[in-house]
Amino acid sequence: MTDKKTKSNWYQFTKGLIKENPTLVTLLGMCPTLAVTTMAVNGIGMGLATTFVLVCSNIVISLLKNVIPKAVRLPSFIVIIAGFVTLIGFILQRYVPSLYSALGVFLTLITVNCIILGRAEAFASKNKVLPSALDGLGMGLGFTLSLFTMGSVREILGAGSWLGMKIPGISSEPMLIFIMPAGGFFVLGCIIALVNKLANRRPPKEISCEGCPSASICGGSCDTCEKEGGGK
Amino acid sequence: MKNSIMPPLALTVICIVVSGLLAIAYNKTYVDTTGVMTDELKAGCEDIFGEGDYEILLDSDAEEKTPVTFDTDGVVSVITDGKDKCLVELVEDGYSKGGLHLLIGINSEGAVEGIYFLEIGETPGVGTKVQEASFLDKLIGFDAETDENSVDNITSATYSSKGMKAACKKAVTLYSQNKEAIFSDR
Repeated sequence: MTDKKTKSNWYQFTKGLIKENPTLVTLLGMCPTLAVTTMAVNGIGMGLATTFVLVCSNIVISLLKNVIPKAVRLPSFIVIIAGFVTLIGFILQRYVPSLYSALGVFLTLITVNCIILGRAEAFASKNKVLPSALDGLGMGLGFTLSLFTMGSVREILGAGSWLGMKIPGISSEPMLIFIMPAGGFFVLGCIIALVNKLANRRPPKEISCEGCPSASICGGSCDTCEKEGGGK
Repeated sequence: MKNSIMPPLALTVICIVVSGLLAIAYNKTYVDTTGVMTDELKAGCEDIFGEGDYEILLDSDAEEKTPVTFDTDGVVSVITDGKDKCLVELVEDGYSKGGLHLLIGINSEGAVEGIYFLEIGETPGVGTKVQEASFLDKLIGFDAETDENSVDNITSATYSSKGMKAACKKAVTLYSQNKEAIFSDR
């Protein structure tokens, strides 16, 4: 029983790192991903700030899941998330002002980061505190990992440095396109393609009406199948 | 009845609790550095002029600590050692609004002695090229008579270069117009 529980908690933590990585697999949080990854350190800062908010909001939402009425579920989640975002803003402004100014408007926009609201709605509001905290931690670290990877590639190729350290041979003639918006899209696309290749993930195959896994529900009738042009 | 009252009531309670906790956090983390010689400002002064007894000029008429800015846009504070060294802290637009937060040292002849970057919000690798010594060296000696167009902009960092020159012009003009007040105020 204990082993099963441990395995389950371990799964909640690790799934967000690669398998269900919020940026590279579910493609959530694209706006900060593209905007702040001009430097690796910005990616780490943004990722850790988001992780802090994810973990805290998941814990609080999980604790309050039975208290919050369903009708005001989403506004309540947003208020809780916004509270933690404002708190991390205060802390960064006080103790790491350089990172605070580097993250700029994207720090406050963590409030509407769909990863956080998504995890609150899909996981924390339906699960216990510990799995929710581990889910938030795993997803946050997965987000940090992808931002750091993107930031590293863009900083090395676009600015000829890594974490502020000049790289001999590249620093004199960096490829500026990589720190421009177009370079962000290009790097993101390449990393997603690489992750898909490594995970051996393939696009879904087109299936016939007979082969559809939902055939037993609709009775194999194409008239009621939305995909086949029938139904609603 | 319960269904119509409970949801807004619960949301109101959550809002009040979150606001209260944030008010406490704000009071714990906020530090007013207006008119205070921070470590970074001191490091900037020493980087340009070496060690000295630097102080921010404060408005003696105001009730709270208010730095003297001589009503110049973008100027945050004016620092002096009370003898012949003056430093102007200012924020200037580069490619991004307010992207250049600088400390410009002005010598006794009214010319730029050195520039220290307190903060730079320009595009990394592009606008941040204005931090390179090859460009900063061209701004050393910049005075109130210098034509801004005489200093070449950096290719691909035109707006940032213009911002740097505008900041220097602003600082040396402030110095030349208020030299006596700067050294008599302290």
